Amino acid sequence: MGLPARDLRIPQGTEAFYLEEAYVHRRLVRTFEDVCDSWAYFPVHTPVYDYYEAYRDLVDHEWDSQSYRLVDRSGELLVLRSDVTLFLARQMGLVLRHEDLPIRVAYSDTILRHEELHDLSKNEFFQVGAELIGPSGADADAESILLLFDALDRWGAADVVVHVGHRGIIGEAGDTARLAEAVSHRRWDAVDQLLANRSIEAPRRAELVELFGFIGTEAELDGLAGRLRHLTPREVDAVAHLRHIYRVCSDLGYTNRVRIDLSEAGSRHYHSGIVFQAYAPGASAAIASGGRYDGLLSHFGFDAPSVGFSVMLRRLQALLHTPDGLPVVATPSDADIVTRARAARDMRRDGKVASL
Amino acid sequence: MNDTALTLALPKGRLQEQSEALLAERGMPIEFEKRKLLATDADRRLSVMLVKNSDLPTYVHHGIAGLGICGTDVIYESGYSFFELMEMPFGSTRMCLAAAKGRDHESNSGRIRVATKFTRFAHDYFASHGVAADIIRLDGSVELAPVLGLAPYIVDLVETGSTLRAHDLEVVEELSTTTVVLIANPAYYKFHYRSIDALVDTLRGGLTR
Repeated sequence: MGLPARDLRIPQGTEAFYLEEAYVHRRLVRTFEDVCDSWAYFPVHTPVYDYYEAYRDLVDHEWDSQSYRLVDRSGELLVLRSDVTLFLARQMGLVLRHEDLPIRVAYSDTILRHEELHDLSKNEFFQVGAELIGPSGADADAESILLLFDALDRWGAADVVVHVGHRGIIGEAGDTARLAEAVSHRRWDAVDQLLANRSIEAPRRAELVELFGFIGTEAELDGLAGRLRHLTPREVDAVAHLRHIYRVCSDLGYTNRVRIDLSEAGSRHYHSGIVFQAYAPGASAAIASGGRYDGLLSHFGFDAPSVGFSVMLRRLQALLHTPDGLPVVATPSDADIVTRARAARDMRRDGKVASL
Repeated sequence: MNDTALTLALPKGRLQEQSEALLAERGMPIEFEKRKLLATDADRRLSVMLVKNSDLPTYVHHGIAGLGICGTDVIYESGYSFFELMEMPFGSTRMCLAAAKGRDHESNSGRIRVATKFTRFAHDYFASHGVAADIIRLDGSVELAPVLGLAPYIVDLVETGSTLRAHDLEVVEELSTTTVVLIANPAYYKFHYRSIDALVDTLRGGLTR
């Protein structure tokens, strides 16, 4: 007799994994934590749930629809952690003082998101990430991307590419969620219409559509930017900002793994500067995303710029060719438990995994 | 599958023939061996898989195929979001509300009852136009619904109108135009954008956007 059908079910939006898979997962987390330690990004832990009211003004329908909410014993509405970035921003807003800055923090936490019953493609169960709070400017942005590259290298994901865009160009053209969405989905007819609705003249619209559609190298961007005649000074600055980040990444050996991509517009309205996503061969969605959100912490009572990223670790793990599962286990054969324990202790001192 | 080739899903049936004809015209002929659902073009530029029309968005959404050729009606029903890279020069048609000929199209109760395969589209269309509609899902032969009394209205694709006429039905209103488009999984496009853009240029080959 099998289990009753109700006992076979696992609620959507969570998962359990065991043995080899869990072992590999833990190693990936440790690798990330080691990388972060070596970059002076020190750990923080966010609460599993928080007051929904604290986030109400920041979130959109999508965030709402994928988050689980519950009511506590006093009737307050709570929300389970569905995205570490927002929960972290609130915690940092509560505890940071200006003399603490700059501060570098890293996290690894489970998240709980609703998934449609028929769509198990998201694999959004566990985030690791890092935030740099305090500095603004292109060097700080570059640091965040370089840290991501280092982690990807250590995970053996050296074929992942990072696309970097800038929300400032969307903002200059009229920052609306609809424009950002149309740009992100590369719907150029819709982008042109939205720009026209803002009374932007046809020659400038055509240039903006071309700019938003650009993906490529610094040299290719130079070729495009040299032909554009209707950009505002802020848009020119945003392009120069991206060129600087590209140059830094390129000088450090990541030329083939970084791309300037002005259609990376960010899905959250609190993005304020660069926006980036990481793409892996074989992945059905970005495996990491990040950006600058200088106004986010001020929403929680502490005004400081910040830049960071998060990696959907379970999504990445599914793509990695991890060479081994569980380690080889040595087992002393002595009959006496004390002798076996001594032998096992010696084995562990030699770096082996020993079982009694 | 060839690792360097772009992966493309084609829908079985009428759109398959038209898609293969266009690919052949642009120098990428595809030949499927008998009963096989996977093939590559001679230059190994494309790895093509044949899938059921309504399943095509699912394959592309999950990245099994990076690209697909699909009707906008099927994409809408899937609920998934893709990059639409180009409109294909074939397959456009109309999504229509239809009913029995000569029927009084006013609803007495203020609600209309509609049978359709396109439940998501119908729900969203009537909701956005302030019309209260009871939607009944059917998976085929939708034109039978008014004939057999299941629902007085249907929402369906209409090309020549011959199927409607054969069942003594008529178009009440054209609700939208559907087209056939080349879609890409967004992450797949981002990773392979250069070779995909080159493919689109080849497919356009003198076509207007």
